[in-house]
Amino acid sequence: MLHKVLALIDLHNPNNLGLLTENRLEAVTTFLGRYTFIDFMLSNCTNSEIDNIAILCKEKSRSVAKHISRDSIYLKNSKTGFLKILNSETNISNPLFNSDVNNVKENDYILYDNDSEYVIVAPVHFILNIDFNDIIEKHIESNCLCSVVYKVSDDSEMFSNCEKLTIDALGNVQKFEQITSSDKTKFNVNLGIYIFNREFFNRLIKESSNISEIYSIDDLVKYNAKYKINVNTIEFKKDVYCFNSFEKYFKYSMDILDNPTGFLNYDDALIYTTTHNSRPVLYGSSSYVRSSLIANGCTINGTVKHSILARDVVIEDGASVENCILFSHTVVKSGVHLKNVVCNKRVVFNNPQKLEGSLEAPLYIKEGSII
Amino acid sequence: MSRKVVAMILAGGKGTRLQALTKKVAKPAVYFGGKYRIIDFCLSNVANSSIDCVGVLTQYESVVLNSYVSNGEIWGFDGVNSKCIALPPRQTEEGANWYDGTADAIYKNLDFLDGEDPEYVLILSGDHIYKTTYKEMLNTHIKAKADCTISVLEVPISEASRFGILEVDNVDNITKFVEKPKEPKSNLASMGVYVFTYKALRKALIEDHKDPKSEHDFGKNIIPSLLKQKKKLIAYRFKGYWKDVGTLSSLHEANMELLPSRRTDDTILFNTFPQVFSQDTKSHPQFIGKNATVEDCLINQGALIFGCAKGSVISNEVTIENGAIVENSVLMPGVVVKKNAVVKNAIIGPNTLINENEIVNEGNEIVLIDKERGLQ
Repeated sequence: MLHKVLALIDLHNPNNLGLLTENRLEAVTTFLGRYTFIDFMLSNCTNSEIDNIAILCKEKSRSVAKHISRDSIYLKNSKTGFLKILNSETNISNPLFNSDVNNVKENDYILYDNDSEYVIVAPVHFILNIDFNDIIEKHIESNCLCSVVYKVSDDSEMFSNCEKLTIDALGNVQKFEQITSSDKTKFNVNLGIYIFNREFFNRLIKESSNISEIYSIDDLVKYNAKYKINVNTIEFKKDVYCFNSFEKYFKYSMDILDNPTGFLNYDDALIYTTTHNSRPVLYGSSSYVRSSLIANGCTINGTVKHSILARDVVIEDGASVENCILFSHTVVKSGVHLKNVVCNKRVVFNNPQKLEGSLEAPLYIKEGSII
Repeated sequence: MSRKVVAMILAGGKGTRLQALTKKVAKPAVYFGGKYRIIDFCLSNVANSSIDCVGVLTQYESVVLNSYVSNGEIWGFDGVNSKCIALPPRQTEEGANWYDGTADAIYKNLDFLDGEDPEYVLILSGDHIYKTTYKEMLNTHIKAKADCTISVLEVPISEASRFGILEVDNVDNITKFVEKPKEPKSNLASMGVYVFTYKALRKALIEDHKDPKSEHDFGKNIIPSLLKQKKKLIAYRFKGYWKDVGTLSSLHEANMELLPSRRTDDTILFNTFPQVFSQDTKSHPQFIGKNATVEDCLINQGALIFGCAKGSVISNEVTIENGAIVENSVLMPGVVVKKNAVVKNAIIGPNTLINENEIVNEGNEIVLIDKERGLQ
């Protein structure tokens, strides 16, 4: 990275993945058997050689701290760089004021104790392989104080509950609007990735209380775009997946199984994550596995079709799973048949039975259940 | 700060019988079990024994091994007061010399050991596959007030002439050590695992260094010399799985013994204590394609299987394309088996390409295919 950048991974507006996010944030929800969502944005930072990273947490930071076990997983140099999980402690019991802006204010040493030239703010529910070097260069070329990254798409289903941008002839944002199901022609999806000149960002945070004490960074950008400055737009042209609901989580995970190599190669960029010293997968003589992603530590003696198995899952001989996502340490014993099921961690399917959801509404099994 | 125990791992050997697999790496760095390198086993054993200081003596093609050992973080040796250091030969005031024998390698690092000031030194071979903790062996040594304790394995007497054989009295005091005896009188084979009381070891190494006739080898010189001096040497009987993977067939066999169909009470279980630690690759989860067949296999993350894999150990970043068949084989990291190729009874070295429709090995003898062969 030619320019020094501070990245803020913003978890203050977490998406609800139904019961999956009951005890944890979407950011650290299991994805593709080995990863969590935050791994992708953190890896974008790592691959772009950004070594100053703060994760802004509003709630459930326990789950984030558990996942980010060591900063050296994501940093090139853990002495000169940092990866911190930040909370707004004074507002922990006052959700209205527990904003990303107040979080940064309360931890403002991250702004003043380093010499970053630019600040990037990014969410985690968009899965994309983005080179921030390119983005920073385009931001510099624009001569604007703030830029926003967007994706051109016509998929209003994928990007439901997201925003679209109207862009003027100079490439600046005219307005931000909600995407609706009636959006059939191409629109510009706001990917929620903002780039700021550092001094402008400092000022934005410092002076935010003059505008509103409960505004988020997102609100401040919109306010500034409307009344004060030109907000530049930068198009991101590669693939983007949006995971902001339980239904999308299941649907797009299943879609990836139909064409995994393109996704898994991820343009040859590495994805970094916490590891657990699991052994390779053991496949018994009776195993039958097709179209599935399997994480290390699994033991498979039964049938696995079109499914995602996280680490240390056991599928016994005489058991079958199809169109399922099984989180770590799930045990499926002989005589159990699962179809269209999303199963949280440490579930034991003990008794012979058939459990089936639908592709549109998969069955959810809560963490630690004995079924 | 003095330490109770320091482990020294002999990892400088070439392992000539592994042919091209050790062309650019030392034997302890050779891949094993889809995810591991051979040296992971003894370094994990040391970590699981709560020993926090380990020197790894490297020599032959040491770059990969030195880099892999690094600061020992993989095995947890990067903690407070812990130390893991690769010790290749170095230039000194006396000049620069290669390690000339196992005992000479330790002798040339007496300054390192003096700096750590241990009571006991555990000397290990870095090229064996076994899981253990050395705690019981150390306790046996301390309790017996021995000068040296040697870990032994009971082998069939018919095979004893392949090993260094120990003869013992009725309380396992060692009375004689013979390297590869033609007519073995005992079936207790040395595993190349020694616990020494450091003072005794230090004295023996200095004496050995002065002996111009010595080959500076623990088995051939140090142990016989200590026995001659009536020092107290005892045998510690190891129970469990232990394998010297010094040849292609034994390396293949040891890999195959990890498969579900070969499971016995002795099979190495990676997930139970003592665990085997290894470097984690930044790989995606493995993917098994819609026309794939996978039976009786051990497959690491990063693999893409679209063809058929049976009775095989498959490492990270291996691709088996549509219509390809892999049976009774070990595929090391980065191997690509192209469409409709057939690989049987083989070890395929790292990053080797098996061409479309190519047939590797129609015989029953295990063959090694390595990328150095050139494209066929």
